Amino acid sequence: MTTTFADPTISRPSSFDALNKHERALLAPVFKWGRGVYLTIGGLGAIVAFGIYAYFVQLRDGLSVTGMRDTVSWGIYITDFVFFIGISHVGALLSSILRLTGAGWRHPITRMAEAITFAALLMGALMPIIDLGRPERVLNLILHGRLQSPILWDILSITTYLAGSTIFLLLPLIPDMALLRDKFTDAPTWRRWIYKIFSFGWRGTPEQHVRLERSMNAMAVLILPIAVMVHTVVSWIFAMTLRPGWNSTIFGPYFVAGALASGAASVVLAMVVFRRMYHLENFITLQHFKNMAALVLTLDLVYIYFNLAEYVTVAYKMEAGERAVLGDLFSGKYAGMFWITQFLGLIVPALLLVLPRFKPMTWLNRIRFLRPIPLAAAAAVSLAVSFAPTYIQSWIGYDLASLAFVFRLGAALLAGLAAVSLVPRLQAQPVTSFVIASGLIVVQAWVKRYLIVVPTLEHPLLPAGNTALTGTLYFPTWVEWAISAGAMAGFLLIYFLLSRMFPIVSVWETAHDKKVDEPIGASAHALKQPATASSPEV
Amino acid sequence: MLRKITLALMAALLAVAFHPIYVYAHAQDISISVGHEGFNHMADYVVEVEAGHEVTITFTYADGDLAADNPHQIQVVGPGLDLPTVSLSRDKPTASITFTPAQTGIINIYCIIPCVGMEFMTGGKIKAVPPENSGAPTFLALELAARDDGNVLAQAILHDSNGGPAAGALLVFKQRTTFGGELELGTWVTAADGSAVVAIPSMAGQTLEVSAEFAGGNGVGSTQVTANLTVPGLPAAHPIGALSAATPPPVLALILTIVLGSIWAAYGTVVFQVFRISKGG
Repeated sequence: MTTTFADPTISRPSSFDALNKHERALLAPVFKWGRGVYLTIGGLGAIVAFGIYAYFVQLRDGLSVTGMRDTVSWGIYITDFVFFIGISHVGALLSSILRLTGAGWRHPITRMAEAITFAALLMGALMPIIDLGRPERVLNLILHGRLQSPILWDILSITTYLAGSTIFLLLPLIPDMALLRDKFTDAPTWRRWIYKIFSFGWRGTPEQHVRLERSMNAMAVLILPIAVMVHTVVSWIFAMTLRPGWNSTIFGPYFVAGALASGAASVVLAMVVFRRMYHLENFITLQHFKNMAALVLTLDLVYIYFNLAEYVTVAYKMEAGERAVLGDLFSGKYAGMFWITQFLGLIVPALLLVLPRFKPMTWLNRIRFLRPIPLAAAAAVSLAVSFAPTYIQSWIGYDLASLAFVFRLGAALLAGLAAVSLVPRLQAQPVTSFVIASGLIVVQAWVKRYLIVVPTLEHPLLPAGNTALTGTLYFPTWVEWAISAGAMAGFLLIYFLLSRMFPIVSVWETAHDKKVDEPIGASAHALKQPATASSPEV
Repeated sequence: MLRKITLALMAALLAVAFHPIYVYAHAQDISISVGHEGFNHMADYVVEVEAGHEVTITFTYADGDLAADNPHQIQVVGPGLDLPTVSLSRDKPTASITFTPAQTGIINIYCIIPCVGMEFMTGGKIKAVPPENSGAPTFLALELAARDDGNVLAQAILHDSNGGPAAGALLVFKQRTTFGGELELGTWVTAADGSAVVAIPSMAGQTLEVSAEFAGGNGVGSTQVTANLTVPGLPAAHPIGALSAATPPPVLALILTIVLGSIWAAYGTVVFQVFRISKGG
């Protein structure tokens, strides 16, 4: 476990030398802020600033600069809101469940998860206010809010969850804050001030440990039902309206399952990024990825089950109001998006997560035509031909339009074969497989929420004024994309700053853990070994 | 150094973000020349007009220097407008559109015929702003009357400073809602006798508070009046259910209070533990 300052642009505080080996490994990102940190802050800050500019345009000219109108009055702002609230579940899930079950392997990853919750909730809570158009009208929800309305329940539950998550994040940080207060003596004044305030006079006495453990256990019990409550209430905003596509009794658990899957997948992405960026190879091991992959797989399968239950029951009855929405999703203008999301975002990740557990399929390497790059290139050419412009078709003297479907089918088959050819490599590199699966699940989570919000609004039960109920009723404008990009960048910026202000892996909790030094490129056979818990909790 | 560059970059971005909108004119009668290089050769032509007052835009054909005729078809798009459209060509070098913006907001001007300068022909904007409300005083009277068909008739009459009826003025009617907010019923134009009449659905026993507003502008002052009426008869039982009532059902309020109160009390206990930690355990 070594930490070096190879980059000459990174200043090395003298207090760093006073740290022990364990602390150096985990506190290096906090002590050293090099060029990369400022570039990251600048880059993300620029996207946030562009989002603020777009919001200023929206404030100045009104919501007419968005694609939202009378019929489709919720767009990607509410999509972002549900997405952010969804991934925020992971802090509660991982920390709470793993703490209550005494899973010692959780220590290196719980803070990553809790910080995702905190950052995602901050941005998620902002999105409905942006969606309001007139932000000062949020006061009307307090002044004239109706206790009977799910909107008010949503505000109450999100506020409660944000407060609980902040406490849940802060509690295990207290000993690490005290460590930074005592050892990072040459930190900038403002940071020393933060460490002093939030270490709450921690001296590590047995009485303080007892109180901290008691508080963390209480919050672990409390935060889980609150998290479930929050996403259930978010789903009720949709389900408590008489709208096709939303009028469902399982929307609560359906949303919770989707949120947990996307949240756990986002932790896998955070793990791989921090592991590489902060050189945490000795703390985040293959075993952690295996355990998280099992969790993501379980949640993904549960979410697939809920998808099946939700769509099959409605489609079997095909009630008149639902027919138009399902028609758009299954075979209409959203069909491509819907089926790609279901397949690439749910089924394929499940296969990728389970793939390393199978016997290595090296025999696939012996099939000569199974080579990923030529197959992918052929798929791309086939797809491009299917979209060939008319003048190219007239140039070659052949009408390709009638064969477009054949070319697209061919492209899909070739892409599938390219994916199959990658199987032996993914089995040999299980982390890559897990990361691709997690990335697909996170992207799926956003697109799926778009498909929940928009198609339903395009099919109101009552005729909507002078609006034509066919064609594209909503597509986000550059203002909405810019604000959404700003929100995503804001989330990443908050998360990045948290990881640079405080240790992203708990120093005091991992101090007594048994080190699991399994190399990351270990044989896939290692995946068949049972998960080992590390030492008892502090 | 890098930190300074980052800060300077962010400051520059924020400065760009909050730059003021450029206003080139403030008038109710506007002249715009239309050519293959855009409107008045400006891609972001912005004019302010007063909402609620008649606006006339005169378009002039500006492609006389081209060898061939380059006709334009100009369309004005905005809230409350019924897509007024005019055509311009070498044979018809001027045309005008007259309309009254019913509300504030952005009104866009487009040319809808593709031509060599199409990329310049979508940038015309007019900003309808609230009218200036100073000038000669006006007087507004409002009367509410319940009818047998369940509606309440609200009749507002606007008089000018000489006591004569003010015809063609825009009146905005609003109704106070059960929950304390204001519901805008719409905008009506006064008739020749200065009156505008609105039928408001009501229920027996309901108390209505209705207001009518004239925004003024174009040298005339604004005015506003409010009237109340309780519709005769006994109120009917609410037909939908407790969740639609004005006040929350006590059981729901109790459940929410107990659940949220318990959670926040638990938070308080944890915060108290942290306080004890700060005191040394």
